Amino acid sequence: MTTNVLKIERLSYSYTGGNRVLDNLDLEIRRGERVGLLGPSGCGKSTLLRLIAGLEKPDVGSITILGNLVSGHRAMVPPENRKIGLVVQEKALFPHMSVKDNIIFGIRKEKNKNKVVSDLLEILKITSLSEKFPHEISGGEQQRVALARSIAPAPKLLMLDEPFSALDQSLKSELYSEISKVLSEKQITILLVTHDVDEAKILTDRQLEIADLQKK
Amino acid sequence: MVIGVSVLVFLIGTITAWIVTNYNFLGRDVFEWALILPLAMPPYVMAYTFTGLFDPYGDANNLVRNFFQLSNDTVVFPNFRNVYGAIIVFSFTLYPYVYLVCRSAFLNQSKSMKEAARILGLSQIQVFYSLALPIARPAVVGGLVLAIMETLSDFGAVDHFAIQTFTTGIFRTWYGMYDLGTAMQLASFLLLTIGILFLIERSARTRRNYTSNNSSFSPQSEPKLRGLNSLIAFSVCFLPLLIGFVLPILELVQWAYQSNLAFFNQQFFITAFNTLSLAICSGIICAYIALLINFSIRFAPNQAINKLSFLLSIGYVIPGLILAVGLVQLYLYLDNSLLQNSKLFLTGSLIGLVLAYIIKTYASANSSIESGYERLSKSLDSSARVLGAGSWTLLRKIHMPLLKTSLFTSILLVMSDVVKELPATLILRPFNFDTLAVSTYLYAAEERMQQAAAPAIAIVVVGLIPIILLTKMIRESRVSVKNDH
Repeated sequence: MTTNVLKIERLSYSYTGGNRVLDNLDLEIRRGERVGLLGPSGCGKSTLLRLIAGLEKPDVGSITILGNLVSGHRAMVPPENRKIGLVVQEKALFPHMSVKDNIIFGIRKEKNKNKVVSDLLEILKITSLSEKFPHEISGGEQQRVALARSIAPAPKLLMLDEPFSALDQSLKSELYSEISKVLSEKQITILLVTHDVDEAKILTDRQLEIADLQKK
Repeated sequence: MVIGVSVLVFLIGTITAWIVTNYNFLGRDVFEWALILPLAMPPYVMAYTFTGLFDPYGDANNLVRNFFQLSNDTVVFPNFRNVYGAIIVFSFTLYPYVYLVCRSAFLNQSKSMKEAARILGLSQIQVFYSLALPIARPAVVGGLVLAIMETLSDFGAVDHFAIQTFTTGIFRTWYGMYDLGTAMQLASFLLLTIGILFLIERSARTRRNYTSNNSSFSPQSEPKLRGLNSLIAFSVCFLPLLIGFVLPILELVQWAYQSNLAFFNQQFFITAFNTLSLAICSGIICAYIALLINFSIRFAPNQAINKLSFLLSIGYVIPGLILAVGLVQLYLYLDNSLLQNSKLFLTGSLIGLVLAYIIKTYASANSSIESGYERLSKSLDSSARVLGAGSWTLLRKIHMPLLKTSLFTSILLVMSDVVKELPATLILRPFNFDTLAVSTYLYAAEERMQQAAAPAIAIVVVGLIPIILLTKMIRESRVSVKNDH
């Protein structure tokens, strides 16, 4: 049985118009590992996450999740079938759904969905917000909800794309410790994208520069 | 006629927009949205009311004769059944096209730019015509072209005034003389003219985006006008509203009063039911087609869908009469050669009529859905998909609830267009199937104006619904412009 949750080989991607943003990239993440991916703005960090999520198609190379080829030559598994989680900077909470319904969205067909939601609300200390709508809660609370929503379907890999960059420093520090605890408890494999080296050191075990992953 | 309408529409649209955006005067807050009310008045309804008012024995002449005790053969107001009357009718119902775009352009122009111009020696009026107007030129051209296209496409008003235009010519040669060849030649020429205007409007629209996006100045605090100046501003804004909306409404109400509300008979309710059923059907179908096409473009973009959307979007520029003449030929061909059915499936059927409405009004439905989608962050799609939502779930659970206002607006816009549409309905409707527009036209053709009042009022009321939505947006737009800065 493979211990790699994610394996990327020789991945290249260009924006429409031909500007190559990722070139010949290799990356392996083992089960339970927490990896931080660092790099300046525009170096392709977020694009890499979109490629892993299946929201973009690579030009060349392959992406394998838990031994299954999801992107590659003649293979393109749609995002909804990849069983991964993604939290983005702008949170992207569904504005017409309550906090509870947002978290349920990814597990709406499961029988124990209410139990999963109430556990997550409790762990992330947002039980009192369950019936509120995204516009009625603060930025930090929205980020907790976005995280709960991504964790709820128990993804094989959780990707975090600069999730704290819009928050102030005191709120960040508070969230770091709480979220670290939750992620450890759930033993979720993490791929965090950030430009903040300190944030990466607090939340992850291994930090990588995106430039170092690309073979010239 | 086109030249006259262009000049008047330009003058009324730009001057009223300049006044309401740059000065604070008596009634400004009301005029700001009320000036678009004439959009609810189809030109043919205004034409009917104007002949009712200003014909030698019309209500306006009678009123003046009675008031001043004049003899019965004294005619006070000029005859409107000519090209000048048509210019008045089109100008005062179509100026809102220019007013709307100019208001938006002027609202985005800055106080500092205007002040700089004043310091450089320009008077207030010079700022208007040598600075504000040239900056807003692409928007003005766009609005003006729309008004010209509407004028060229009209059939009801020019037919009532017995003016020879392309549309009346096509209708008579085709419907009266059964001379399809000549009708097609006339239609092709009109279509070519409209096509050129369409290209001008598209190009103006691109440049309009460019100019408005470049405005990053603070908004103006408008000087308050007092005394005579306030009165002049009030009069300039009230006159178009009076001619384009208040007078026709008063005349319609007068007809309704004269007939003692007897027109609310069974025939009226059948006609209203026919119209509303058609309008609701077309509205729902059109809105859902627009939703599916926009969803496809967003979810899995491809050239074919983009082209289909563009093709459907240009349907609105085709005059209703030409669309109907073309579709009749197509329907006959399809019914005879392909379906080979003894019963005509498309020709003279409700299906054929609804298809025509969809082609004619798709652009209205699309504009609302498209702008709704522009406001919807794509990160919502990404999140939903990563959380396991396929295309159908994404559409049903995320997009449709978030776009319900856009969907509703697009249904209303289509309904309003369908209710007003005259020539296409007149030609494509099933035998003995009347709509409000057809009914108004037929009564007016027989000079039975009291009977024409009920369907005409109903058309204006339905036409007012999207206008009310638009006025709400206008009121909010000034607040948002202030908040943005």
